[in-house]
Amino acid sequence: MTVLRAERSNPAGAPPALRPYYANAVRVTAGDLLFISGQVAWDADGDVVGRDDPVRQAEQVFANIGCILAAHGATFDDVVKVTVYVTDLSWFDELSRIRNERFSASPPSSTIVQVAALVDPALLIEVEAIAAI
Amino acid sequence: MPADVTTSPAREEHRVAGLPEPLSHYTDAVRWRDLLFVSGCVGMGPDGQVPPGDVTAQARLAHENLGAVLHAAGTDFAHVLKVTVFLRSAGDRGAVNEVRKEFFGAAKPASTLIEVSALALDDLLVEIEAVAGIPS
Repeated sequence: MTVLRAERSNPAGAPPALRPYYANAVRVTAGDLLFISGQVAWDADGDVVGRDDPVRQAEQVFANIGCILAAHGATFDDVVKVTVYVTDLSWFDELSRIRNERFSASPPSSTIVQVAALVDPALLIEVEAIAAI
Repeated sequence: MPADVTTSPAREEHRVAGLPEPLSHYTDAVRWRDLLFVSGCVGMGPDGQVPPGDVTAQARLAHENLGAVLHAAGTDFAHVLKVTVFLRSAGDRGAVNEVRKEFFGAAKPASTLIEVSALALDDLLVEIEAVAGIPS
């Protein structure tokens, strides 16, 4: 049986979550916290994956996060908060599809913002996360 | 309805003497149990002055301010869990990283870095926020 570690909340009176891959609030009821640095579309050698291809970059970002989660015995279901930084919000719907594949079962709270630039001009998305393990 | 700030003993606000006055309705840090959430620290001296155009000096002041908040809350750089670094120019990250190494020593926080189109004041080049653990 899965131990309940986090309670999702979308209370009446607040605008509902726009997409199924996040919740308005997540209450952590147990577990250790894991803070994951902002992940970008670098492969294991530090080379950019998916130049000019935001969808490919997002897939690499979430692969990197999945790798870090797994190394700590966690999965996407344990993520309680993500902050998503993109250089351009025009591909929001494609990003939503990718996030939905990973987070719809156990949505974290979420913030997304468009920023002026990331650490390398080739990078189009960065995602940081907090997990309760 | 405004919240009563004394509702929970787990929550404690920290306003640190000697740091620049907060620019609006926030305080320097808030502790929740053994977690400390530190507001964005900027390159502003105790006199409220920002060294214009000098990202290294600003980064040093920002880390000094962060260190003062950590110390006031009973923790230190070795217990920082996560930082978020906001730069006006991502190209300044090398200079900021050198300063970070001076203050963090062997300890490495989780980190996110982004370039933003503006910070709260025109002269600011860097802002650093942090989440830290407080050792028992």
